[in-house]
Amino acid sequence: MNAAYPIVMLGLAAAAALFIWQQRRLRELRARIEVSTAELQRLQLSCALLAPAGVVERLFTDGPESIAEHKVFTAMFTDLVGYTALAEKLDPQALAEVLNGYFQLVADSVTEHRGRIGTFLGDGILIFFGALEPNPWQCNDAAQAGLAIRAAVARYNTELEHSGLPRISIGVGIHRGPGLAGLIGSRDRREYTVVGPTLNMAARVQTLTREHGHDILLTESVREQLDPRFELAAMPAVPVKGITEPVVTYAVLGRGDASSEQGRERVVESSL
Amino acid sequence: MASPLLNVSWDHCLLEPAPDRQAEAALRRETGSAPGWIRYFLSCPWLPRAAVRLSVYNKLLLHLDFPTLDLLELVVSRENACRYCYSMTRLQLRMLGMSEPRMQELEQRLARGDVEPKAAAAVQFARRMTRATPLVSSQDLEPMRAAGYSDAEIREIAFTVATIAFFNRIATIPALPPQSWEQLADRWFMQLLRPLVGRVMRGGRKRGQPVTFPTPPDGPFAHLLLQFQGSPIGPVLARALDEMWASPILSRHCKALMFAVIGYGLGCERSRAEVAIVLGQEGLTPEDVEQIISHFDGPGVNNMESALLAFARDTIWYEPIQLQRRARELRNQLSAAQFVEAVGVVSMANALCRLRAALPQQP
Repeated sequence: MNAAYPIVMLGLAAAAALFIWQQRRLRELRARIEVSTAELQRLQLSCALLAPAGVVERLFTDGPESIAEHKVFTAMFTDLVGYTALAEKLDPQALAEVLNGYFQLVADSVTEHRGRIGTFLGDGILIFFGALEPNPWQCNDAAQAGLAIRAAVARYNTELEHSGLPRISIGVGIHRGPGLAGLIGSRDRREYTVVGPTLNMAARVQTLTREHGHDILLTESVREQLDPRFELAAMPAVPVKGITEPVVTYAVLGRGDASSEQGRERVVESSL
Repeated sequence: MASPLLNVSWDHCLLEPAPDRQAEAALRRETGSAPGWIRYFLSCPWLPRAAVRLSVYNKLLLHLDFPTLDLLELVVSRENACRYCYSMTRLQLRMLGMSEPRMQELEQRLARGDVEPKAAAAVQFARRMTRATPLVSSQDLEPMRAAGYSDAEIREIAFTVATIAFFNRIATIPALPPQSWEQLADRWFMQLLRPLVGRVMRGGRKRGQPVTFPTPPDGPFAHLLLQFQGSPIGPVLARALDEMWASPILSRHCKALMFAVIGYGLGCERSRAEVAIVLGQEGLTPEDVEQIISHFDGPGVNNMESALLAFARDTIWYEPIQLQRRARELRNQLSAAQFVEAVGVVSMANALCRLRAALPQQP
């Protein structure tokens, strides 16, 4: 009996130690799960800013290959006019400040009108309306965002002048058409974006802003969906690289509060 | 780990509570409860009445169990980023005996999609119906059928999701203050009173009895209402709608257009067809309606209505703080009663358009 006593005690001590170790291990595992879940929640919230919630859900359940949808959306392409000259004139730090201010004002104006920044391409910005969630007002939103960018650039130029920096000017092209929305990229790095000729057309229309002397141009496919209160000026049809037919565009002059019938008549022939 | 939703940016409340003892007592007599939050909405009488009567815990459901309801309330409020409703649901669950660690565990499991398969089907459907990107259709009901829900339960799930979407909007748009709910559960007196409060709450969760419509519903959404034939939901929803249309604060014309804008934004043709009858009675042609809902302007639309229609569009998908900023701009153009009615109409329209899409069958 006495001889068995130490063995029993030893066994009990071992069992107690094992129990304590298991409890500690369990606590550690629970803490890890909690941290992982918190990260997952943060990730889901972050992903929701980059792609529609349904896309995020499918990404988690079905994988990235499953996500590709045909959509009609409105693309906006904005570009900084005279960027190369600006880059030569300013030291890199001042240039970065000017660029950051420009990116921020575009992002704010676009977000306010339910657009989503697609990609920053150097000094150009690709923006989508109605690509992430359904938006039957996408053309109005894009045109309104264009006007908001124009107003914000005017305010920004006053700031730049006060700081002794050169003024900036922008070109904005807007086009509506079909595209494929999905996760595009390499195996290691993808982003939720839209691909298709609509984007190229928006970028081409943006280049026409220099030729026509107007900062915001939109195409016929946008104009036909547009609120008649937008004041437009018709531009002459011009050939565009990569497009077979000459492209008709309209300059956005502003937005009035007149009745719709009068608004339609505000599409005037360009003097150019 | 606190839920990220409890840190969502939230504006100061746009409304002042205005107690009205007579109205509150009348509501209490009729429904057995007159919660404090109705004081924010008493300037528009139909809205607090509808909100209290539409509480899914109050004799409305015949089939669905209360734990599933609690789950749906958490999920939908979270999807809509409604800090007010989410905090209130959390508090309810705490009062019913769920500890904070268990509450957090449930939130984590919901985030991971780690719930039992039957509940998971309801949660998945609730998320899709709430997001409406795209709108749900009858096909989205199949996984719930496969998981074992009856058609009657599915109708109650869809109604519950729609009702929570309604509550989320009436709380989010005027930014009802969530802070009191967020802190209440941890107050010492609530910890002491928890068993008692929990018992009272459990007693207040009542199942309904089968009822029939006093008169067959007609007018907008009658087909939808008839799908709740035999359920207490049908007459309560019909009464809420009738009172909303009859309220003189905003014109019937304006309210129908707000419904049409939300139906158009969601891409719900059925909802647009429902209100087309009202708009026709108001003298608008289909072309007029198309112009108005496309541009928030057109024949017979004044500046206030134009602002209300643009606002209706903002309530379909939103970030709370942006929506509250826009609501504040609108509030400055309207009387308190007009603003509260506008909040009620857009909330009802968002709920019904989603429900109409989820339950498309004709009677």
